[in-house]
Amino acid sequence: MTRTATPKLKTFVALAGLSVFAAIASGRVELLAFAAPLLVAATVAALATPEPDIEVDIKPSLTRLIEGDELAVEVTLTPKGSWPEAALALSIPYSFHLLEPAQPVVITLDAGRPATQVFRLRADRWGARRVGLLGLRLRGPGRMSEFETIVNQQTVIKVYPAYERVSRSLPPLDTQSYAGDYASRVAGDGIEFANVRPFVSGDSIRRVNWRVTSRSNELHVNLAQPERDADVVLFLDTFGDAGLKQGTILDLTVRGAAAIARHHLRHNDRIGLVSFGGLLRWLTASMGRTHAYRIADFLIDVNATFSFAWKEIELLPHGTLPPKATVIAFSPLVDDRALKALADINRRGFPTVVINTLVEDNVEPTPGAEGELAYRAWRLQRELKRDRLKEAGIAVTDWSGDEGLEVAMSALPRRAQRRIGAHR
Amino acid sequence: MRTLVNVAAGLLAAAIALRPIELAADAMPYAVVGGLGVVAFALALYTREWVLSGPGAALLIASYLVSLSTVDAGIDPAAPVLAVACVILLELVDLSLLLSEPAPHRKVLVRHGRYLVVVITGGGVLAATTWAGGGLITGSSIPLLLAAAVAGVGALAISVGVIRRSLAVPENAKG
Repeated sequence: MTRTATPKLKTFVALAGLSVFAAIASGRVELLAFAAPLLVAATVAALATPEPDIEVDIKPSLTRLIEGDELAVEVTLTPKGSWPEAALALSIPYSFHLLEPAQPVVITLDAGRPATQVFRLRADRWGARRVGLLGLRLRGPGRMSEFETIVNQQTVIKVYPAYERVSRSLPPLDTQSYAGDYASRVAGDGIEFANVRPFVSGDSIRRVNWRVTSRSNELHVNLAQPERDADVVLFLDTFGDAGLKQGTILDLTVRGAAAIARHHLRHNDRIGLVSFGGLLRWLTASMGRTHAYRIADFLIDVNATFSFAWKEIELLPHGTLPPKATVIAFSPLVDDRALKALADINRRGFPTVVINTLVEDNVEPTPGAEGELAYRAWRLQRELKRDRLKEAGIAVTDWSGDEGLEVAMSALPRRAQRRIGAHR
Repeated sequence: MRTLVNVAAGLLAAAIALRPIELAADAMPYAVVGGLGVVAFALALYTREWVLSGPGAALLIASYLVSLSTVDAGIDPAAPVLAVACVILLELVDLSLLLSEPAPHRKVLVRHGRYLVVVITGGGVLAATTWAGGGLITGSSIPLLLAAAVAGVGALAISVGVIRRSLAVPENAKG
């Protein structure tokens, strides 16, 4: 610990010295009397201040939270000696908010007795943060000497995004081979009636359609549409970020992706993620509870990283985009690299839709004639980008966060929604 | 509570500043210097900066010294009282700064109060002893001077002992 003399000690010693000097110079003993109690105070404080020997333990109550949850950080101090004044200040990480107590907290430490102080924080935004950096200042009797140190016992706290529950998502263009909730295009065993065909060796007698059989004098069987799962890849444009009325573009992206991922995982679909930006990250499609945690950890690490480098989808490893997967992209339609990548993906046969997270109507023009002109030019530019995506066969829908994600997705053009068939 | 402490400190500063005015024939210069000292203390309390109370106390001491030089003979009987008052004033400023921090626990204030009692008592006794010793030097016998010196050292030792005892590790807390 670093020992420093407080301004009070310096003041006392300086005044005592001044009084003694003035007493000697002037020959007035009254000023010696002035110096006496100042010296007593300084001496008592110096002699009564021990060297600090203290154990500090910092424990957060949770390591995983959801946005809006509260976190209690318990700080326990076990001193060897007594300290009349110990000030504690916990470093509050970005996106956390201190609820109580007001800092710094000033407590007394009794020798050998642990003292505990609890700090209550609230997680305001998703992300992975470190909590556990504590400033400690001990003051001896009289507040003449102080010892300061920083205690570093940081723990990573993961705050997962709060998301809305989505009950309908985009149905897939084609299904995969595992059992799921979507009616397959290929007829086979299932519940939903698909077709009737002549009986062939191996067909089950229970599937015989007796009405058609009696009319045609030939055995016919019913065919059904088996229910299969789907593969969905969430494409996150992370080339940039900007503030919105509430939160940022990345907030919308992460929350929307979490909602859709959660919906599809509940329906036994496989979900993959691609964070396409300055830093390229991906998560291969999978399903299940473990994968849900992987998705959550992936999303809390999403960050907009600025980069000039040109990026292509060839950089993605094989298997990141499973065949016949539906690609749902969250993009502010700003960076051409993301838009080109989406067009490439669509051209390769992956049905793609884009959810625009930067809605033009929510952007206010800069006041003035130039501002208005720039705003109109910007809107025209964005119209052009939408038209280019439409020409490439990619449907675009707007989502500002004010309304639900389901409402935004239901606004997609009918053709885009109807590509697959009924969603179960 | 902080407001009460600030008011007490202001009044005490004014009281200390009055003594030179009382001693000297021409009050005006001492009133000005004393007034500046009081203003420095007021600023220290308002801005919560210790650094301003040093110059404030120095101005009051300087004013007192100069006023003493205008007194022909004898020793000022108010000197020990002024010395203790000066220390109390500085401790009130410190207490005000402590109270300005967010809600210090009651035990912190109790401990600080204990310290103040010891220091002020010990300091007062020593100040009086010094003053008495000085009076003896200017007037009277060596034995009395020695007795005054012993009393002063004893006061210091008692103060240190009391503080050490209050900070000692309790029996049941020893490991």
